[in-house]
Amino acid sequence: MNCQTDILKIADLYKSYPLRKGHALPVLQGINVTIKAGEMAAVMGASGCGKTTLINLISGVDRADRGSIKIQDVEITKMNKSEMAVFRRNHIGLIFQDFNLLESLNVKDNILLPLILGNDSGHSDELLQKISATLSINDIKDKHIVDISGGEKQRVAIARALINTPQIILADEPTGNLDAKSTRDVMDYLTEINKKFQATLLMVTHDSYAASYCHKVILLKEGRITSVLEKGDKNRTAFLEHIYEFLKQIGGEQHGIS
Amino acid sequence: MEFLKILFKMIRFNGRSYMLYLYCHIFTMSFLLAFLSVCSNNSLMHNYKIDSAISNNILAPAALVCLFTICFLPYAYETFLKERKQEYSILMILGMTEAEVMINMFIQCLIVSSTGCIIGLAGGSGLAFLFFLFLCNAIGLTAVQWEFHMAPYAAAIILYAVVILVNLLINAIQLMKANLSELLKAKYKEEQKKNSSLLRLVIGGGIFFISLLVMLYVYYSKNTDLGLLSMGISIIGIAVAIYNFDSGMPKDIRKEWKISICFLLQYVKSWKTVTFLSACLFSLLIFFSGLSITLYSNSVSCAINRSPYDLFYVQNETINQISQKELERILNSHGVSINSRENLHVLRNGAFNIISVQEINKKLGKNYQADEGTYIQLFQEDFNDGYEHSLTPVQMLEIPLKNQQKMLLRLQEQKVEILFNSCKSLADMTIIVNDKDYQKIKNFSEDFLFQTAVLINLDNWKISGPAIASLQNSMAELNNLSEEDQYLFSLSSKIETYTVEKQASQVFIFWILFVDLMFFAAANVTIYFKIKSEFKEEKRILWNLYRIGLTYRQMQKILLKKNFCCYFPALFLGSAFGIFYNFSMNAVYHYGHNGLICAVFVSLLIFILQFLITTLLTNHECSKTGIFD
Repeated sequence: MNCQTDILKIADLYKSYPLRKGHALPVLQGINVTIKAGEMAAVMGASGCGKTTLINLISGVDRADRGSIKIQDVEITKMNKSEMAVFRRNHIGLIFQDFNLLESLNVKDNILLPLILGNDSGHSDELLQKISATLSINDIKDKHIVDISGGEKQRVAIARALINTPQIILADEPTGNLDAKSTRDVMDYLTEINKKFQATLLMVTHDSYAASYCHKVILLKEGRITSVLEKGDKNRTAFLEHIYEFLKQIGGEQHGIS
Repeated sequence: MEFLKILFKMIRFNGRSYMLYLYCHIFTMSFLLAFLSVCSNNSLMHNYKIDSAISNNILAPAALVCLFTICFLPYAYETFLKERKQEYSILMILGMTEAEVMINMFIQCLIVSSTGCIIGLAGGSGLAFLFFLFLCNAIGLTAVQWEFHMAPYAAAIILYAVVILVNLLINAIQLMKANLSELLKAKYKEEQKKNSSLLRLVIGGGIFFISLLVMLYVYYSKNTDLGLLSMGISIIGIAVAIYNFDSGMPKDIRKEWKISICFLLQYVKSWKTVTFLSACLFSLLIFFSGLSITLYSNSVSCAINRSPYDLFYVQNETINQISQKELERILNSHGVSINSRENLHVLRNGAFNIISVQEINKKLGKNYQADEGTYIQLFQEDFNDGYEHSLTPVQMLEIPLKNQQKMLLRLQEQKVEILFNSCKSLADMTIIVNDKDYQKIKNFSEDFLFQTAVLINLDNWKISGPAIASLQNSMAELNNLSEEDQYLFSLSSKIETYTVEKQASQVFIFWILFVDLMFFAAANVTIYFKIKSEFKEEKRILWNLYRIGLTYRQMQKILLKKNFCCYFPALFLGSAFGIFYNFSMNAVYHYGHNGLICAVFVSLLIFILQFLITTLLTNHECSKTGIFD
């Protein structure tokens, strides 16, 4: 995939939630974002600034009030629920903070679920093998979800997000429930996947360390994009320091970003 | 194929939930079919050999079973679906379309409900047969025969299918409309969104207070129909109070109850529906059980009051003309002898029995006065028999005489007294007239038939059953009427009234016992579903407590108290409601204390049973945590 192609284009996106007595709480106010194919981007911001809402709108789980979201030039805001479901299973991979794996199925079935839903699980063995090897979950494929650790669950969730070779992976706080080691492991895996499978990744996080793995960090405050930090030629440590420095300048800790 | 495999894997993993849901279906269908089968049994319901007091006793319990089916199946499905919702939301996020979700829900529902329906029909047939055996052998209704009709099967399947399909459709639409991100979050988010308010709690208390005032009015007005209204208002009041009760809860709960209650408090809002539903079930259970036991003890004594004569029959020129000698012979052959005999002359048409006041005073030892041109309307009613009585007298009577003449009679007064037994050969209303008027009607009216009521007292009515049955057969032979006509001229006896009333009460207790069983099981299942859905979170908390030193005994105590908090508020509420209404409804007929004692007795039994179940459940939960394995 050409790294210069815009895979995700968000223009003038607004979303609010209704409150009592006809009032509405604005959550996103005029978001404009472009993510290029193969890019890893992080959205950072305090709790309630609209990060998860942004992910939900991009994945079609929630509806925008107005604005445009294009994935690979396909306008998704106009799709109905069923069209969106089919689009999601064919083009989007989703990773959640609390994994959202089905406890009733084993690891392998959970990973294959998007393909099974699309009646496309026939030729999946090779891909499953490749992804499992990359994420080091080959040994636990037959285990039940209740029998594996938090870090392993997140790796299974990542594998599930990859299995349909999506154009973009959306991750909502993928390291939010993990300890430091597991966080490092998961981010290493995501980076490897980004390189190996040319997967485009947009993730939401509080964690500057996790964000430092990305090519781009988008800072969100009260539903608006305040800054975009580019990694450029910096290595990860230098980019992490740059993020810290920037957050210090804007009082990031006061805004719930560490 | 892969998708179906996944579906069956999910069903297998959640096997316990599916089984519990399936049991609900089997259990409901079995009871529904069994009660409908009894209702459609012609030998019980339309047989002149079975008194309507016995057969009609099935109607209220059967209505309760139908109502239960309509309410319980949707609740069970909703609770079952609540556990499945998160799975569906994950599948929808991963790309399952609305149509696929609908198909999935439909397949699951079809599997569970058709299995439940088939096993339920088999179980219901077995249960109906057990009912039949009980009626024949234990109660002694030998005239009841085993009958097989397709109608109850069809009715049960139609009701069952309609309830399930409507419910499936409503839930599927709700699931489609739901916001996926919301659906993915807390299981109880929908209920937790509903805010409680102290004002509504007070309003709920106020509505409940109004229901008590209505009940007080019922007590003085003797109108038990309003008692049902009071019960309805009371249930509304309790519902409003329960849905807002947390607004009045103390913020600081102390010491050892704290951890137990914290389990409940974290989901306190979602417990409201469960508490309300199970409280309703416990209320009805205790109310109807108490009522049936109270009725049993009272109706038997009322039956004796309703039959002042041990043997009573009506004869005319051609029917029931048995000689005194033959009568005595038959009775004596069964060890029964006549103590006294009176013949009372009665004129009757389709609506009225007319008796001369002189005849009443002379033969029944009364001192009534009826002036010429007037009448006394006699209401042979027992106000304490637990039934509503309409005492509206007829103000004027116009009796056609020969030669197109008419005789006008005006109401002089009304009397409420049981003078003689009720009998199918007599009309419903009785008037007592002056002897001159009586003779005039007898001689000049073609509308009225002349009959003689025979009033007999025996030396021991309690052993008169076989003697009266034998007499009945002899009279039937003598009369040579069709079976239906003979039924109208059948004997009335104290032993028969007593036996019928006893059987009717036993049958009512029997039906209520099954309805109670159903309500008790449903209340327990309702609460168990809820406990089960929260067990995972509780297990997590217990593991955390174990890490900071929780012992097995402490865990057991915490879970036991928590389970008490789950089961007993509803039981306390249900008991209070059941006891109060059993006392106050019966107090109208002066049986308040009996009602109170019976309801308290039933409540105590339920408490003991519930205590045992709660303890067993707690031990099961303790082992399920796996912490001390």
